[in-house]
Amino acid sequence: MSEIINLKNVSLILEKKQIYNLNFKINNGDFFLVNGKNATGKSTLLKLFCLKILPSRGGFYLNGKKIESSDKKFILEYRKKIGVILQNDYLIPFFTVYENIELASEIQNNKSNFKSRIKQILDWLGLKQIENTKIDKLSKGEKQKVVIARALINNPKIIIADQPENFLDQSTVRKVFFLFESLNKQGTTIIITSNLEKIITVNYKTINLDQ
Amino acid sequence: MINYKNVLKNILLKEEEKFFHGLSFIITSLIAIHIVIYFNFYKFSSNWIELESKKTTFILTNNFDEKQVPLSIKENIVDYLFKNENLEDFKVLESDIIKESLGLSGVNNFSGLNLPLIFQVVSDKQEVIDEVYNNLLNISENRLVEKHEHEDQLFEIGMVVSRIKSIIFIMLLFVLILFSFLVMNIVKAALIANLNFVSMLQVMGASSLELAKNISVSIFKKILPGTLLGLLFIFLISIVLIRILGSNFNFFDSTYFSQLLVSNFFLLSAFMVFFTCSFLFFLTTYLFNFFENRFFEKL
Repeated sequence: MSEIINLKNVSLILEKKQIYNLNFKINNGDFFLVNGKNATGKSTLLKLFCLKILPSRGGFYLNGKKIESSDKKFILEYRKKIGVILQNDYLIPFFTVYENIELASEIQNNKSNFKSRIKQILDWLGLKQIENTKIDKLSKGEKQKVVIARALINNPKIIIADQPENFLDQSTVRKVFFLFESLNKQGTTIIITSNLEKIITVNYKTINLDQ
Repeated sequence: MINYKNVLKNILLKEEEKFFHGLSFIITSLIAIHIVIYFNFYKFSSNWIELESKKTTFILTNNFDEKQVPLSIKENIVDYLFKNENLEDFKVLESDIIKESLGLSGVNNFSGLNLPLIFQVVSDKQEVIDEVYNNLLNISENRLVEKHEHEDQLFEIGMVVSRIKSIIFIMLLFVLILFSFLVMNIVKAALIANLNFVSMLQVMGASSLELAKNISVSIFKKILPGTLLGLLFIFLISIVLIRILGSNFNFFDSTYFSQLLVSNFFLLSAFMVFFTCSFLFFLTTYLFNFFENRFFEKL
């Protein structure tokens, strides 16, 4: 399997937290878990996977290329290919469910089949009945589903999710992870979580930040 | 497809929309009034200065034993001036006008009042004036001829006018800088308040230029109504100002005021185009720089 992400001696030095010497590879098709308790730097690592930050030391390699701060065009293209699920939803409260998902499509310039794709995702996540409801009328669980739908709308090659199970009931968590697993056949999934090993049925790689 | 300019328009500065309308009205009015005064001041004053500076007054004093300059000499002078093609115009001041301007209109011709022959010639060429002066000496048969060039007397006025214009121009620059600074800071505050959302858009792949262009356009749309209203307001003010302060020194041009109004309209329209382009360019550059600096989060 081809290598997608490779971290060589990566250190992330923050004011309150330091992460030293991370060395691991993520290949195409990997289902990758980042485990750790609160304040162990999980979200910081997520920002690194999104290339919103660059390592303080060491090298972050994407498809074999070492990423430098000057590679903005390359990074921009990479960002368009990933689907990100953050802990905070950052949804637009006065837009409907459909419009929020459509926005992601527009930003990433996905013009082909986006309507059928949105319908498919809405069906999958049980959002069909509320597609015309504004975000500020939704429950936390429903919002989390919209965030997941938004991240998956463009068939991302890499899915990066920060605790996607938050606010979801057990059956929806299973549904979502079944969707992740099926999408993983076409790409790579990176999930930051506290304890999800029991739900995931595929073989996964893991890195534990507690150690 | 939804337009994501609308997203930015609704998220950024939504609450401040009315404030932006008011602010842009006041600031645009301030800038436009400076422009109108600057250019019309130029029209009022420099047009007059320019016309007046071309004039030279000659005073031909009669001999001691003469009550006035003999009629034959006066006719020769008028004849010479009339035939001189290098002169733009000339005007002989009749003795009645001189008496009236001196407040001596009641004094009759039998009094001991001796009046010189006064006339003005119009030309901006020094050699023409010198030639007229030399010929006048011959025609006047060596009577005393004094030459007063108006340009020398207008020098001080010209200096004052250019100083006033400089002050207006500096004030205009000051207001422009103030407005740019104000808009820049309001936009920066709004962006920092919504930084997480903007950051999310960046993570989704929105480029700095794309974001900068869209936000600039959405902010421009917020200030456009106030700006247009401000320009209209100043156009109306300029009509009043021209009526009150404007003086037509081109006495034979009856369309002078309507020409001024039309030129003011085009002046304000040109300003609007210039303002739009420079505002969008300035804001887009500033925002592009803002997003580029936040392309990566700092550790």
